[in-house]
Amino acid sequence: MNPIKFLRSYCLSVSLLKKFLLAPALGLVLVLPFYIFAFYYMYSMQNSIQEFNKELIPLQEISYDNIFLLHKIVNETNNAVSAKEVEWLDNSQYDANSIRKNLQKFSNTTYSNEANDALVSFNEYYKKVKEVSVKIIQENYDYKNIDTDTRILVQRYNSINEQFNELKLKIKEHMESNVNSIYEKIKFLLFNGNLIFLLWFILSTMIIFFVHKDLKEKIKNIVIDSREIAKGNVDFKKRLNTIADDELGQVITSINIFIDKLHKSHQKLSTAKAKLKKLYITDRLTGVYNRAKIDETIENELKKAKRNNSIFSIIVIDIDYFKNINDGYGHLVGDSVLKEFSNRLKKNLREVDIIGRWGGEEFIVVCLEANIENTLLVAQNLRAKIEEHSFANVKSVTASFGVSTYSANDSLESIIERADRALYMAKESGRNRVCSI
Amino acid sequence: MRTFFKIQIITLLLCITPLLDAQIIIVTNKSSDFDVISKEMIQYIYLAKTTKTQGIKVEPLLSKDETLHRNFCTTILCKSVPEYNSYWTRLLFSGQKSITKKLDYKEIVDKLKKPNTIAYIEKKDLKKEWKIVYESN
Repeated sequence: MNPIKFLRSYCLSVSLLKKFLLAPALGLVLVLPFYIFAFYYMYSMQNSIQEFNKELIPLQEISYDNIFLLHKIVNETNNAVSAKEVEWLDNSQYDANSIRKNLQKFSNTTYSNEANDALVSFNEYYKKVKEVSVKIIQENYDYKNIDTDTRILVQRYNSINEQFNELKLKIKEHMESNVNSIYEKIKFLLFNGNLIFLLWFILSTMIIFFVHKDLKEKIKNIVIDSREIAKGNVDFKKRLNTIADDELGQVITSINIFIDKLHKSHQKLSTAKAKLKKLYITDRLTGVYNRAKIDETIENELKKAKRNNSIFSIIVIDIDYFKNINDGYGHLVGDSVLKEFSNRLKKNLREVDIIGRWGGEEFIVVCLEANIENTLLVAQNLRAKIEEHSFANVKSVTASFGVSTYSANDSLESIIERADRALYMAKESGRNRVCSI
Repeated sequence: MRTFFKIQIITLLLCITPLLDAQIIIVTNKSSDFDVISKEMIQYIYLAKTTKTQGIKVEPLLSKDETLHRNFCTTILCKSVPEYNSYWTRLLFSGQKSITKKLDYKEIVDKLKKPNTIAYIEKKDLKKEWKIVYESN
């Protein structure tokens, strides 16, 4: 898996605290191995310093001491020969022994071979010095092989002097190499330390940037989703997308729970509203629409007819001699007759027709898309169905029907007034009949 | 009076003659590449401060004759013999120069056959195959 993608998916799944802790944690992951490395590196540096302090510095002092002692031997021998005092030659013995001891101190070091060679050379030189010095003193600078002897002595002196100087130089170079090595190591540590810090800084900045971007995107998504839900008619079926498991994800979950509760409340409210609306437009006794609804329906149909040049009609229905039923059988039977009457009308209406109780024993039917002929047929059919129906308790019930059809410039009052007049005509002409105007 | 004067002159001559005989000269083979060496240069050569004169390598010889050597040290090198010895001891033990062997007259005659070799001798010992490169007053 791509490490960046993995890091991103990890960022989406962890809490904000963990995300922000990712930067120092990463720093720790980078710095900790470096610290371990630096610790061991310092340990090796310490070894170099220890070698420097415990071995190289004393060896260097010894090498300088040897050169000094050699010069001292030269001076002492020179004095002895100049003064022609053979006994004085022994004055240099102590210095020669010191040189021998010094050279033996190199035995367990890396310079043991050079020191052994120097010791052999020194012994040969010192032996020759004494031998030649004695001869020069005794023979007063003039004996047979003086030139050969002194040439050998000069060679040996130069050889031992060179060896001592070389030893000093090698130790010095070793010391320089150690110092340089320590310097290089420190430089390496500093460079890599700075590099690690820079890397950590860049990665931390990147992590903070990604966390910020992630938060920004999530908040943006919440805002977009919220607007989408709240836009126009609230769509309570929609929910905010849970895009992470962090604190923001928890906020989204809480908002969704809140939306759930709102949804339920909205559903209850909608049901209640529907009930209320039904109650508002329904006649409680018969279950058909009440006058308010019928008025509204007629108003709407008037507008529609004017706009579309369409047509509709209304039928006003009144139960004949209903007062006699109330008086003769009581109001409960009267109510029962009203219920049965309205049911009978509903069952025999067309699908598109709308029925309502006009008041008392009067009903009204709005026949949509119906001209006067169609409406008269509907009314005749209803009248016949009522006449032939056997009502409970009262057996026979008839009704009179007044029909009117929409004409241009009609209003609610005018169209009803005509239907009312037609109904009056039906009543006047003997009831149980259909009249129209 | 005249006789006394003569005796005085003869006595003076007798005294001067040995002095004239002890005059030190620096000689070299006639085939050598140089004809004259200054006193300072001779000092430099015999005290091993240089090995060349006029760009030519010179080999100095020492005489076994102690008187001659002493006179040479005093007159030419301006050092007493102990000073000279001490000087060479220093050079020897400090690894700068080995001490040259001293030669008798015969050996010097032999060695002077080699060109660019110089030696100090008494003027009376001058040979025809040599030339004087320095003569002390």
